Amino acid sequence: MNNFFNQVQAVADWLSSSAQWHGEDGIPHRLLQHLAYSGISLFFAALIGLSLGLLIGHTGRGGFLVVSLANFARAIPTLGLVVLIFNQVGLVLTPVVIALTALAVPPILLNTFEGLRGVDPDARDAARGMGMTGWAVLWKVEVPIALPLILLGLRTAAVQVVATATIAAYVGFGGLGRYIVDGLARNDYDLVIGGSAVLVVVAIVVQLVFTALRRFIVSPGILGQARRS
Amino acid sequence: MIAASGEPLVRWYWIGDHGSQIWGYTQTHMRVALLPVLFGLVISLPIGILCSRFNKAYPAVLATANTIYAIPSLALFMIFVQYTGLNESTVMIPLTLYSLSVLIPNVVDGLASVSDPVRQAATAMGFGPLRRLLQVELPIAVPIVIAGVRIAAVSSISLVAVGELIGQGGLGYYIVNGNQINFPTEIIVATVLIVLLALLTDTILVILQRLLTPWARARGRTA
Amino acid sequence: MITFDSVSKRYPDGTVALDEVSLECRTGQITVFVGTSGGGKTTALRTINRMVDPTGGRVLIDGADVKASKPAELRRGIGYVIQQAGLFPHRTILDNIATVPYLLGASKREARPKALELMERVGLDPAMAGRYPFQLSGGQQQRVGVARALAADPPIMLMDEPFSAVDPVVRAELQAEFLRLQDELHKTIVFVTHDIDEAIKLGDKIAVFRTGGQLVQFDTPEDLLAAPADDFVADFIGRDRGIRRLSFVKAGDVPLRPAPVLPVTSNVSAVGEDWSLVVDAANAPLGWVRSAGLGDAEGTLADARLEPLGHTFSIATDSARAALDAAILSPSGLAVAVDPEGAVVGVAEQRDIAGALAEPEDVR
Repeated sequence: MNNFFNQVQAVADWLSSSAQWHGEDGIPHRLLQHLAYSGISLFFAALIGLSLGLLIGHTGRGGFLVVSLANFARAIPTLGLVVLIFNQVGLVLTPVVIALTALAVPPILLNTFEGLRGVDPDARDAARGMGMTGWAVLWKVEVPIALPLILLGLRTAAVQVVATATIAAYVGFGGLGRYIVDGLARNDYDLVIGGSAVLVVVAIVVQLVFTALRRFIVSPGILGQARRS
Repeated sequence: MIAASGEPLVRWYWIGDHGSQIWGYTQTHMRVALLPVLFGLVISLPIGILCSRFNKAYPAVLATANTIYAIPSLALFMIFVQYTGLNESTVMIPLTLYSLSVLIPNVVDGLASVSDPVRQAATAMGFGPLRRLLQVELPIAVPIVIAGVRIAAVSSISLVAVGELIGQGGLGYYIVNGNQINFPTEIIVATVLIVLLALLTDTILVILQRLLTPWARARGRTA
Repeated sequence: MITFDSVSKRYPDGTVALDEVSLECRTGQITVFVGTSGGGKTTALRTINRMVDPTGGRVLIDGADVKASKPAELRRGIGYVIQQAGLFPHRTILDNIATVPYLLGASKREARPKALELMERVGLDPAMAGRYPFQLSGGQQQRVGVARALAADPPIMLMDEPFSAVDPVVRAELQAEFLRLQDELHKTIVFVTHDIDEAIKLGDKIAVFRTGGQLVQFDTPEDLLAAPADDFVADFIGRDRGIRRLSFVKAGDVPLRPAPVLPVTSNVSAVGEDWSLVVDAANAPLGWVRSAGLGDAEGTLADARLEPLGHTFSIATDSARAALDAAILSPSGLAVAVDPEGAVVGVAEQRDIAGALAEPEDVR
């Protein structure tokens, strides 16, 4: 365990050294790059995934395709994809962002679809029977009930883009993955561990954000029901 | 499609020439990917069972599992390098942790899917707690648990490649090597092969599930 | 008034859900659709608010074809209650009830007070307004479902087995309150149930459907019990059709005989071989007695052990069925009739009670 404490000490030292907080290789810059790649991809993936998921989930058609697509996307090794893009196109950001987006769509799509499919048919029937139009049924009834699963899809996608952005550093992009890649190249394990530690913090923050979202956006009626079952 | 460098995308002969080498890396890859899933399953069962018994512990366990899942694989591998060096365990232990983070919630959900009337009927018929678990609750939980195994297996197979950055990547070797010598054939073959292996594993698991749950088949439902 | 004009519903795979059904649901009345499963009763109900569109014939509300209105608009004017309530789990009870008013454009400030009133009307504690459906029992959820259907004060209510998913005690309460509500509100109600007893209890008119979507009989409950159209209906109503008919005969129509009373102050020696009814000073019945049951008892009847009455029947409020039940339970085989103050007015033999059926009069 000595090893562990030494490591923590080394990371603490690295983090506190002021060089880490300035300049292109500084934590703020790398963090910003990482969040930029992730954020943009997540945004577009959410746009696509939510729209398709809501459409397919509400109408109920195309479910098999959605599930197959999600399975297929999960099977793609991100390293292979990123490296291939780099090999063909060079250090161009757009293709990589497109890849990040593409990989993030399936979890959002699948979970949104399943969330909508899981809505109690009686609630849907009652809503139609009371005179809600299809649009109203979707937004006033189905989405609020499906919200926990939709948020889960978004969280999974967020984790996915953060991880893929990390790997993008391998082929020369910025972001927090740079610390790991550069550290490995220079045999500077403090750098590697420091970068990994920051990534762990990012992971924890992503978790907290979505936990908070869940508590504040989802109706207490749905949360309580889930707690009971 | 030919890159700016002039190298064609795939040189098909290469595959034929390196058949046995590719097979070797494939074996390593699958071993490094699937053993963790197996370990994960074995470990997640008791943990999941305990969590479904002691509900209070579950939120903490779930939060930990979710957080581990959120850590990028590269970072997790690096953290373990310090303790396990540059060998397979450095990749397999984190992959086991990832599998756990998927499987524990699935075991808990699977057990939760056993309806209360069924549980009570079993107790009333004289099933002791252990027998009820093994003969009634776990079999019913199988579809949901296997759904988790599928996700864990597919993710695992595609994550192993990342391990190549510390030399333990199975087929990932070709991805990195192909990049270094600008030979896209290797990259594409490895990537496609990984996808195929993942989908094949997924299919086998689906078949396994169908075999294990003949009653679901009889009802005409697909799990 | 809801009119079914030769309504048919045939599905592409050949299933016939409705087969040329024609009937009229009168305004202000409760019409019950009853029958075996697959008989089309729910399908028929759902053609009224266009959840199902017929393949043949027309459904008219007050003379206007329902097809002429846009479905969503049509439905906002019709209350709809289903078996599992279908409450929105993500909304509070209050907001669930106010759903249609909100749909019609009411603000929260307008709709919520009315929803609170409705809660009281259907027997729910207003303190629960902020709760969520998962926190309520089945019976409470059903009441919310009814309140929700009433919220926009629609003239028509469609109810699909609304009380089936609760236990018999709760169901009886809900049925009683439902009748009380209807007395106040006089809505045109179409009610689907598979329970013939519920149909007889609640319906002003009953439509019996057979598998294949055929309407077999459409009559008042009394006429249905008295003259089932065929064996299917007779079987569906069940064995005790005769006894059920007695529910529709007033106890006041049952011919009475003088009661063989003995004041409680009498001595035991006054008791004869035949049954005597022991009464107190106010002429209220206390129990039955005869010499064979007294043994070696001495003193007045106040100390003697009396056979229990079972129950009595009130000539003012009860039906002949209650009288028959009292006769069966009575050790003497005689049912004791009491007036509204509880004093004995006579007794009735089982034969006499059954005879009252010969000239049935409507109890309602």
